[in-house]
Amino acid sequence: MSRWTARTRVFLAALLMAVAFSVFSARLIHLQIGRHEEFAALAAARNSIRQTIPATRGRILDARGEVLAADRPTRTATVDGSHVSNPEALAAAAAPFLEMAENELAAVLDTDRKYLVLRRGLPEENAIGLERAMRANGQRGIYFEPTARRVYPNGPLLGHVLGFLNHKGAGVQGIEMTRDADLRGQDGFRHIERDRTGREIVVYRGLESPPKNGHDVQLTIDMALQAILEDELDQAYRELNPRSVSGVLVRPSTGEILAMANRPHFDPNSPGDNDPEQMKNRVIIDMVEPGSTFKIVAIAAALNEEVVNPESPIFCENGRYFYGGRTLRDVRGYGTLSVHDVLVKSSNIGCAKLALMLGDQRLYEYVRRFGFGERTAVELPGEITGTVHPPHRWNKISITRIPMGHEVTVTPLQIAMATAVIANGGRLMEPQIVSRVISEDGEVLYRMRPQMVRQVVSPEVADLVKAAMVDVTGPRGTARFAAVQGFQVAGKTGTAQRVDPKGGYTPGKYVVSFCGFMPAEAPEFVAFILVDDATTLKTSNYGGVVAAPIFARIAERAASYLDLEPGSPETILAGTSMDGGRQ
Amino acid sequence: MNVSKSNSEPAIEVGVIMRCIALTLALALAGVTFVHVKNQQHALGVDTRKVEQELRDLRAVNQVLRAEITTLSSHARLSSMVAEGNVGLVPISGQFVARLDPPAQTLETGELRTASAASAGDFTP
Repeated sequence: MSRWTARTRVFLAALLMAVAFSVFSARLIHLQIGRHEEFAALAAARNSIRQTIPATRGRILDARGEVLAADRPTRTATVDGSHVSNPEALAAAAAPFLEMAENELAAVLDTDRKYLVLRRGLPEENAIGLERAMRANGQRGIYFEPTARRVYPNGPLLGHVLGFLNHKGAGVQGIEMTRDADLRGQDGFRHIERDRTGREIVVYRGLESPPKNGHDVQLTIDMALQAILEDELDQAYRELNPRSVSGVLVRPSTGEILAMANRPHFDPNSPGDNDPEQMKNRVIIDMVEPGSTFKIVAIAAALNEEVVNPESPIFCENGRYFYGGRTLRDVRGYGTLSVHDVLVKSSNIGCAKLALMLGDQRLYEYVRRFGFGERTAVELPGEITGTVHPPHRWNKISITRIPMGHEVTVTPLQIAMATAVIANGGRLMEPQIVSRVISEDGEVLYRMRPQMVRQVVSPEVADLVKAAMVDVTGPRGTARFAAVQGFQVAGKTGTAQRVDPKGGYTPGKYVVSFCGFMPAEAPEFVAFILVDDATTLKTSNYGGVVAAPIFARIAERAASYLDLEPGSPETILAGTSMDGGRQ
Repeated sequence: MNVSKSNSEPAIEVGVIMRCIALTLALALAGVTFVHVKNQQHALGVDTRKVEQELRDLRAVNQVLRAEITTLSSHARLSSMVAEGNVGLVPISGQFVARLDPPAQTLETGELRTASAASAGDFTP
């Protein structure tokens, strides 16, 4: 019998096939399992990418929820040259959407590069339209990355407070900068793989982390009051042609900043079109000699220290006071004035004598207690401290000059907050500009709480100074033009010569101001207006003539908006006489 | 003679063959099913990508529209519309204001003003 039976032949054939398949299987196992990591890494390097899912930046809102800054989605159009089969046809379809010339686009599309930016900031509707056109034509090669453009719907209004973003999307200046961490959010990511044509293979989608969108920041600013302030500053800037004009409104009981504006100003929608002078938030970075608005410090200090009472007589030397080798003058020659009237008439000599009664050290202490010489800690970048020299650096006459607001430099916000001390029962409050921070799902992450810095003077002394400030805007005072019919207005004017950066003062140039609050009996707001180098008659360039009327118009409109009840007897409004405006 | 040869050849084991065929068919079916499911997965992935794209586009368009609404309803825009006369303001006369406190006195002209008369001409009827 032959050894090679059918069974044997079948067995051998099967064995051969088994061996062959075993070899293939072994190879397969070696490739698929043994060298899996190696080939997976190779494939990942070629086709797998970490796709960023951008977070939406949070909005900035005003006190009533009006949107002041928001993101508007845009796209960045890119081209992968290896996916473009017909550059001319693609350019013909894409040029209208990309707003580029067809031949120029065709030249760019005819490239071997795998990534080339065609256009940034492409409007969303253009991108969607182009995607549809390419899909309809069966074309590939142009891809879009999601981006966003920051939009400030109110244009230049509140520009100094809001700030703007740089090209990397980081906040520069204003709230965009100080609250960048809250607004920015956190980008998410997703690991994806693409096929040969560049399309994502969803099945192989890997690790994914969703983006955390930025939080909304709500300010204490009321856009209605802001619009009133900006409108009046616009008018003043046009009519007076000053170097600059600034204004700030503050709620004295809480320190909330209700409005803040400067001229010149800029549009944060196009910050590159403006020069640096326009971008200065002068309310917090301009140093000025405050002039007579500073007199409330010396008078409040003298009353609080019980050196004098409101009726104490002060001899004002009939307008010329020789002290320390220099002559100090008043606008008018006053004889004896009560302490109350020293403020009403804004007597430099009266204030100087009060300061002399107080002494260097106590005067300096009260200047610092009112918040001068230190930052207010407002949540805006670039705030300066101003300059208040300690007594050992004073000269012989400093004690007579500082009470009238010379030899010190302050910011407009510091003056507003100091005036708010008188309006707020003697309490210095920390200025607040951020009211709340709200997460995307509505959770309040931060809520502003009024912060009292210190009790500067007693409530009784604050009331005494307030009474004098009410008379400042009355018929006997220097700020009759600040009166508002139906309301008691308390305030103080300021007129100071402009400091020359090279030293001394610039002749003929003045910085005039008015700081006041209303209604005096229960103040709803403090407003400070400062006009630097107004173009007006020399005889008219006083705080009471230039700045006080601006305050009056703002206060009147603000009272109407806030629906304040008039409570005063008929107020005699100032006429056109200049007398009531001096000092 | 072939008779003895045919008597000694083994019979065809139909059962074994059938089992092999069945096993092979089962494996083939499993393989085909696997490929079909994979294809379905990929097709679903393509649909998912399309829907995600549409959703992204819708959200983006929604955000664009919200930004436009914000701009159109902003203070600056409304103020410029008032200045151009495209939006009119009607001053509220005293008889439509309900107050709990006694009302302020009207002026000689009959206007009710809570502040100075300096800006009486500002309102646009």
